[in-house]
Amino acid sequence: MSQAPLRRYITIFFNGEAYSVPHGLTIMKALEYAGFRFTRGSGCRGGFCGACPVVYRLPGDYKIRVGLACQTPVEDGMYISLIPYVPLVEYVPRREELKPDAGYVLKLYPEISRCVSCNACSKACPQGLSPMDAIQAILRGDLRKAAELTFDCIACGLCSLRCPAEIRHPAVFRLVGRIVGVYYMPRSRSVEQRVKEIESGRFNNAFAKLLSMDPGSLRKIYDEYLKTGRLPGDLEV
Amino acid sequence: MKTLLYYPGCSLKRDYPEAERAGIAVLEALGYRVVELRDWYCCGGYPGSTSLDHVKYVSSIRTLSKAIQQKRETEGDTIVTLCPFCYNTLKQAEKLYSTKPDIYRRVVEYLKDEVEPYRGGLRVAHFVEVLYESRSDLSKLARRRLSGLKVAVYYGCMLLRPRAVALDNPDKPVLVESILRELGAEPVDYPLKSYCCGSFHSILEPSIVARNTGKIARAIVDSGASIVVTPCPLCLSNLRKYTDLRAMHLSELIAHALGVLELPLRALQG
Repeated sequence: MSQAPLRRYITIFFNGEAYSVPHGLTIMKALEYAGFRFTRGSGCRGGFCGACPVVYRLPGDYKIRVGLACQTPVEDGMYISLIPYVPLVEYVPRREELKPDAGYVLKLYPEISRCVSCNACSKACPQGLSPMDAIQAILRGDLRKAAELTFDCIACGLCSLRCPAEIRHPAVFRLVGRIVGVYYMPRSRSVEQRVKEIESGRFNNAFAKLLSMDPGSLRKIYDEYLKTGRLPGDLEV
Repeated sequence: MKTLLYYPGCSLKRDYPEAERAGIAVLEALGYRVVELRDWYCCGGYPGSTSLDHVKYVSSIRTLSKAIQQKRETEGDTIVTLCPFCYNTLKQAEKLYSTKPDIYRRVVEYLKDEVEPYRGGLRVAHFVEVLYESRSDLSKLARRRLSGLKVAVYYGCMLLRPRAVALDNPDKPVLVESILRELGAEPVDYPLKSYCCGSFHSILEPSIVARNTGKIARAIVDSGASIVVTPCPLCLSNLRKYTDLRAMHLSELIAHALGVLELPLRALQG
């Protein structure tokens, strides 16, 4: 006796068209099942790169929901729109130009003073962060708090699209993160040490040797290294 | 010991940490436990200068809703702030359900999936009110009398207008003067105590601020005062930027008199 297939099909709506897809897939997989190919708006597929933000509604509910297409399972009747790209014109000042001062952030991104704390950004964050609290922290001069609150930002840009004050949250947070990194975090002594070693030429010979090798010999050294954890004598430094 | 829930406000937190330290030290000297609110947001004073009538209440009502949760843990039923803008906005938001029920309903409906609706239960007070209520303790606690110090009190707008949240007569306020007299100071009388300094025009129309603070400064100089105190960080900023007056936040002078904080008060020695 043949067994009935266990697969259940549901209907989703994408770009205004209905598609029948298996239950249990993520939005990204379901759209691929329906025949779409992602050339944009898809990245790590592991929920961390922020390339595949998606907004959707469910039948009978006014709420606009957000997520990442690679992480959110499809539901019956889902209305889906992909947001592969959010225009965030970003200022990337040189390290020396950064100032540990909220006034400096305001000068580059004056729109943050228009925050009315509606909290639409926090409701839109697929990472479950509170961008609004971070913007408010900047307004009161607490850059460290802002950096701490937004450390897990994946820069998908959904907050920025929902913001009535048109704030470019991910760009602001990246700037604040850099300022805090430069001015408040302890310097990494081991990196400084290693840069000095490189500059002293300690690794020059080994690198010259590696660069002159053919891929076959490199492969051999690599496999040997995986097995024993050791490099051939003339590559040790 | 009575607990005060403390709402700092952005301006004071960002630009006048010394005034904040002084204010908290004074309240503690008066026997209050001062607990900063866990979650607080811009009062709305800044966006409040725009014409978005509903939206400007959102952050204040959210702050009040969250403060209610903290009230249950700490037993503090008063929110105190050192900033007149914050006082004004929070106080108006606190009364919103009775003064503008239609706006109140819409704001609460909007905030529904974040916080429980604020239904009253908190008192919003400015630092000045708390001082006034404890003024008899002030003279007992004073370690440095301000004897003979001729001081001009500049109130600005936000403690005195509109009438519904005014702490004193907007045309002839005496509240802060009576506090300073307890400490031995001699407040001077002059006509422009509540004349607007120009407020946020400092950003787009600085000439208005220059003109207004100029008038105020002349009146204060004519009064013979040697320093001016104000309860408002924005007024302080404008007075310092556009005039040569020796200006400080009210909390600093009181802290100096109580001896609870050593401040570099050049003005008092000069």
